[in-house]
Amino acid sequence: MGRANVTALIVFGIIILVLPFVLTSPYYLRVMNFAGIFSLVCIGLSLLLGYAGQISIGQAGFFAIGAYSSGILCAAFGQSAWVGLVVGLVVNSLVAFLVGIPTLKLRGHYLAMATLGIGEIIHIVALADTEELTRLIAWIGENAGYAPEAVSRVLQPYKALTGGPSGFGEIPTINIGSWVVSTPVEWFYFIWFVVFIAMLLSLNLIHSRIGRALRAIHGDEEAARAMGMNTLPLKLGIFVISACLASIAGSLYAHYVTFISPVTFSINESILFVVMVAVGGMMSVWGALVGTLIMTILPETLRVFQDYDILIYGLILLLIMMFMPDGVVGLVQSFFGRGREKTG
Amino acid sequence: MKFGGVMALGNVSTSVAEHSITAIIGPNGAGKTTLINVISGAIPQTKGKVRFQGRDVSGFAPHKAAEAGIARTFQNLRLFKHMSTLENVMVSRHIKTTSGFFSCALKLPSSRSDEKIIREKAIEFLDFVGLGDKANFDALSLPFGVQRHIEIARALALDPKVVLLDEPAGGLNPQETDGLATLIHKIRDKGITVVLIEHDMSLVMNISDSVVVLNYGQKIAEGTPEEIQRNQAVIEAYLGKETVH
Repeated sequence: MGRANVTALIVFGIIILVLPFVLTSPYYLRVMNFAGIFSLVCIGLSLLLGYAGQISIGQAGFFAIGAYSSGILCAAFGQSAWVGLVVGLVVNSLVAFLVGIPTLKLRGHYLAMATLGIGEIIHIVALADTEELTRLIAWIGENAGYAPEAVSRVLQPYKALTGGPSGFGEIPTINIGSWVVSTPVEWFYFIWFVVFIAMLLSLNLIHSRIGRALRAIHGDEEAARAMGMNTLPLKLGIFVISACLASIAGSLYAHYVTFISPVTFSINESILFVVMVAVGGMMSVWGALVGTLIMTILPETLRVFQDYDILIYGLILLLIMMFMPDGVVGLVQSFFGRGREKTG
Repeated sequence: MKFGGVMALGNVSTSVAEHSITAIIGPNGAGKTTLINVISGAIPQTKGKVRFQGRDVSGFAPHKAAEAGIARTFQNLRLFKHMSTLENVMVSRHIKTTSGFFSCALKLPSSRSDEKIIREKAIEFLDFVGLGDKANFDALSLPFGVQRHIEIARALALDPKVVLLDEPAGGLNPQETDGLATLIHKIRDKGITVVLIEHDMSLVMNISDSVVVLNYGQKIAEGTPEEIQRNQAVIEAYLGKETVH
C-alpha cells in the first residue's frame, strides 16, 4: 500500500483514539458505534462492488445471519460470544459459497438478482411466522403426510428462537477475558478497533496480486481470462469475504443492541448499504467508511428540520450523486490530482 | 465453428512451425478472429481439434490455454480500465505466482516477495516493447498505438510459446507499423512463435515466413508470401473474378 494509505491509516487510528474525549455525549457515541458496525458491512461491499465489480443487494441477509447466530446461541443456549461469532461466519461462508457458485459464473446482473432473493429469503426466515412461510411449510408438511397441527407444533420452538416479527432480546454483551464490554466508550473502542483491522487487511488485500486481479476482472473479465486468470474462485473468494465482514458486523450488532428483530435486516437496509458505498465512492475502501459515516450521521443532524428532514436528506443524496459520480472520496482524490491513479 | 446456423469456420486445417511468423489473411468476415478465438479458448468450438506441441488443447478454457502457453491480443483493444500500464502487464505475471487471499490480506512474506517479482518482471516486458517510460500512466489515457504495444507486452508477460496477434497494425500510422515489424521480429528471436491476423499487406509480405488465406470460413491458400501473391484463388477472393466482356 502506498504512503498515502499508510498516512491515512495512522490519522484514522489517531482519530479513533481521540474521538471519545471530544464526543463525550453517550448519544453521539451511540451514533458513531452504529456507523462503525455498518461500515464493516460497507467495507466488504466496497471490495465486492467497487473492486471486483460484482453487486450484491443482499448484504442485510448476511448481516442478519451473523446477528441471529450470535443472538440465538448466546441468549437461548448460553454459549460464549465467540461461538456465536464463529458459527455466524461459517454459516455465512457456506451460504455465500452456495449462492455464488452458480451466479458468479454468469455475466450481467445475475448476482444482483440472486443476492436480492437470498436477502429476502433470510429476512422471511427471520420473520418466521409470516403467513406465507407458515402456509408454505404447512403445505409441504401436508403433502409429506403430516397434519397441519403437527407441523405447527414442530415449528413452535423455532418461532420461540427467532421471536418472529417481534424479535428477541436479552442478548448478553461480549467479554474479552475479564473485560466486559459495556459502556458506550468501551463499545466505541471495541467496534472501531475491529473496523481499523478490517481496513488494514482490506488495504493489504487491495494492494496485492489478489486486489489487482479483482480490478482486472472489473476492468475486462474476458481479457483477464485470456491472461491466464481463473476468475470464478477469485469472485467467489471476495463474495465470501464480503459476507463474512457483514457477519462480524451482525454479531457485533446483536451484542451491542442486545435486541434484534427482522425489521433491521430488510431489503431497505441492503439498498442503504449500496447507497453508503456509492456516496462515499466505490473506487476506494475509504469511500465505504466515509459514505457510512455520512449516511449514518446525516439523518441524525437533519432532525432539527423536523418534518422536512426526509426532503433535505433526499436532496443532499441527489446532489452528491449528480455532482460527485465517484463519491465524496473520489472528489477529494481528484482535487489532489490523484483522481486518475487508483490509490485504494 | 457455427454461429446460429452460419458456418463461421469450417474445414480449416493448418499447422504452424515453431519459431516462425505466420500471418492469417482474408477479406472481412473470413473467420480470422474466430480462428484465434477458438485456439485461445475464448469461444468453444463445435467440431475439430486444436493441437499444441503434441497436446490436445481443444475446448480449453481461456485461462487453461494461457497456462499451456497460448497468449493473445485483441483486435478491439481490451486493456484493463482504471489501471496503469505497468499494472496491466503485472496482471499477466499472476499466473507465475500463487499467494492467495489469506497471505495477501496479512501481507505475509510470500505475498511481499510475489509482489516484488511480479513488478520486476512486468517492467522487463514493458522495456522489451519500449514502454518503460509509460509505466505509471493510466493505460487507457495513452495514444492508440501505445495501447497496442501494451497489449503485446501484456501477452508476452505470460511467457507464452505462441502469441496470437489480432490485427496488431490496425489503426497505426506507417512509422508505428515499422516499429511493430521490428518488434515482431524481436519476439520471434526470443523463441516465441508468432501468429498474426493482419490487413496491412505490405507488413504481412514483409515479415511472414508463411501465410494462410481464409475466405468464407474456408482455407483457400497457404504458402510463402511469394506464393500467395501469385495465387489465383487469393487474387479472386480479394479483387473478385475477372470477367471477359
